Amino acid sequence: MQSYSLKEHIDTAAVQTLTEDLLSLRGQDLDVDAGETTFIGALGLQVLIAVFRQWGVDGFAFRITVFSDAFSQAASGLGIDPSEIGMTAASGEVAA
Amino acid sequence: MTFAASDDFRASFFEECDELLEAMQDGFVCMVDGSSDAETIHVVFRAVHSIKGGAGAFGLNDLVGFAHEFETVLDHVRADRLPSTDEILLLFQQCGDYLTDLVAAARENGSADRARSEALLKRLDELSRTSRGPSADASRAAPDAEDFQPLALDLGDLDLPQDPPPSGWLISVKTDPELFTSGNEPLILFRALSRFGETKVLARTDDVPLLSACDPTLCNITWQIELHTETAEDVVLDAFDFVLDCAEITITPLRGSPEIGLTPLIAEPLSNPAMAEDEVAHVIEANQARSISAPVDKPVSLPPPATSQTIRVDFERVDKLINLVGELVIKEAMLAQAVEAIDLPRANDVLQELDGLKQLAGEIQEGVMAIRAQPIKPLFQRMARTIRDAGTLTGKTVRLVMKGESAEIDKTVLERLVDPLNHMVRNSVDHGLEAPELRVTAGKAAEGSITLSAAHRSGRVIIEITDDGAGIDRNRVRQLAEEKGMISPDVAMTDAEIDALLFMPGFSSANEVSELSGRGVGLDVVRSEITALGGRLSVSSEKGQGTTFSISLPLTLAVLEGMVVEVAGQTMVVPITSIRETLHASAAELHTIGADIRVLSVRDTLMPVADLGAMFGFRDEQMDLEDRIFLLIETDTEKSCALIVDALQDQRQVVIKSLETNYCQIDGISAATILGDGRIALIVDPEAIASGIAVPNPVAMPISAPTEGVAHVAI
Repeated sequence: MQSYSLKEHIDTAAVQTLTEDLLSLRGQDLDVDAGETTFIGALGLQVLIAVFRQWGVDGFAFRITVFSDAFSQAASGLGIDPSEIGMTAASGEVAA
Repeated sequence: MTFAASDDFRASFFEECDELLEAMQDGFVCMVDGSSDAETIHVVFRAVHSIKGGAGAFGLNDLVGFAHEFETVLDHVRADRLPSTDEILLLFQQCGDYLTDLVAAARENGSADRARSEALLKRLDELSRTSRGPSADASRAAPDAEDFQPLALDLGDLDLPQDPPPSGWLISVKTDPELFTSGNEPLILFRALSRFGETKVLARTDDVPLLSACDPTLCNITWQIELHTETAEDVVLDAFDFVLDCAEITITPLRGSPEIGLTPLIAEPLSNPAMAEDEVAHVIEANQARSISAPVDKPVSLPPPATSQTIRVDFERVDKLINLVGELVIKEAMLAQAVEAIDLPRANDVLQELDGLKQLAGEIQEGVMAIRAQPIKPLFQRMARTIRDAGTLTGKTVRLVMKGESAEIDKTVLERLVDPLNHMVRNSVDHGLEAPELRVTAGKAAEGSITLSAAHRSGRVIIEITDDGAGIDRNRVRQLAEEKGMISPDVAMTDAEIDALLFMPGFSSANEVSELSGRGVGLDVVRSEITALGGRLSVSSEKGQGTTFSISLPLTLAVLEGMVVEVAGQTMVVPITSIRETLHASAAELHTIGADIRVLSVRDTLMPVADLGAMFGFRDEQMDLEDRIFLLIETDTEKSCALIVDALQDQRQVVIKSLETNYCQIDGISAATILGDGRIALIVDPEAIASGIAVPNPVAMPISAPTEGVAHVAI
């Protein structure tokens, strides 16, 4: 299982890199760690929706296994359902 | 609607205005000191806009007209159509001051300075014309009271013609790429909405493509936000003001039941840790038509919601309550004294319960006093205006720094501080700070700084006015005092003594009486006013570094810490703050000057002696001072004397009762109190007594030989 850690601050400027990083990880199951993320905006979450859908079509699993409060609050604040971006808790832990 | 209801709403409106003006001034302070962010100008705009809205409902057309022009230019600045220069910021502050005047005038049914209004409006109009584009405010037309909805006020009971209010607003948001490239973020915008009320956010993600086709700079998500609020549409739209040119925002009234009708999002981890491929596909399918609602989390940095947990109470009611609690404390003392007379055994329940009652009464008194305590911040904000005006008049640029403005002080003390503090900050600008060119020459910033600070120390509140000016020119002060005949040229004086000359009546350190400070009110008057509040005024200064005036005030004028003394069978109270020490008569150095002037020699200083009993006609002048006790008094104006009393009873807090209100003013007496035995005790005014006693000139007067050594008892 491939893993990927989201950066702390994912604003408009960071979205391009995020997209490229995740594109390079296609074709395999992927666990994402968002435990250190202190900010993620609408474009960043949109990339994660696109990734989640891409992985589904490609036939691989995509999960956000660890996420910070800031991450989940950003998703809820923008009306994004956790299931749209594969938010789960494989390890049963949620980063503070 | 009854007149009473109308009056209530009107009063409520003006109270709202006070809060809004305070928020506006806070915004200006942030903008001046550079700590403002994008939200700051928004807060200022909203404050002015809200005042305009409320004023419209009450037909206060002057206020509406000015606020409208003011907010128009504020809007240009917040929409970046005008730069936020120092000049514009100064104009904003002046407009804020005038808006404050207009509110005050409307409250008193008076009128404000029209000439000033015209001058400010002219400058606002000039700025509007130079702005880089049309105002986002659709109501750019001539000010018209009917255009505006009252804000922040619940006017439901008013008979104003208005449509049934919507339960909120449904806001649709579609973003352009420019929204993101200009540094804006939907998440922040949506969170900002939560201050108006409960929000539910629905993201439409149908158009989000697969990653392989995703352009990360284009946002394919659109939103619908259900905002449950009574806030007016234009105020809600203000939250989007920065993005109106890079997003499609539509707002429609929300009536009746929620229109999105979604279950709240639970931002918790999903239970299924590893989804199978078919489940993933299912989720994707399901997501195509998913609609979600989410309560928007409030970030810590956002201002709190407009509604606060407060009630408004008539000041007279609080005053009455304070008086009653004072009576309670007195009754408790009387009860304690009565029980003491019974001489009950120490372990008796009555004594224990009485202790509990005493503690409870004390706590109630403290709690009631706290009701009347108010933060000092509005007073400091008033000083900001004084400093600004003084700076303009003297051609000095002055930065105000406020510290500890949340410290609280009794409302009555606060009100009486306005004049002295006004004078002192004017004095600091005029005399304390150097002219900009002199500051630059001295290696300082051209902009002067005045710091107002407040802090609680030892049951008192300390207010300091500090400037970073040149400091007191003591040579000049001394020279002036000598020229005015206030001091003898050959008298050696310490720095503190020279500084104290500033508080002498008739002293002015300015070479010429200036338009600003030279208004016939000297620091001596300021000191008198502070002293009348039970306060002390002191000054410290360092050459080239600046000067600090320090005011020490009691937290309340309702109680006083006093020494209860016995004089000729009468009980009197001497404020503890003025007692330096006590001496026993048998051990005192006593001298007689002339025929009947008696002085006490304490550490090479002669103090006039006053017999409290004789002074108030309780007995004839005491000539035999054996077994008498002397209270050495030193007042805030540095006058000293020794008061003869027969015995010290107790040191305790007493409830102050006005003599003027209940009887009449008596020289040498500041107030009265009621003791535990029900008797009235007069509270001595040390300042008046020390001033009324002739201080003998130690050089000119023959002094008799000392009698005995001195034993000091510090208290």
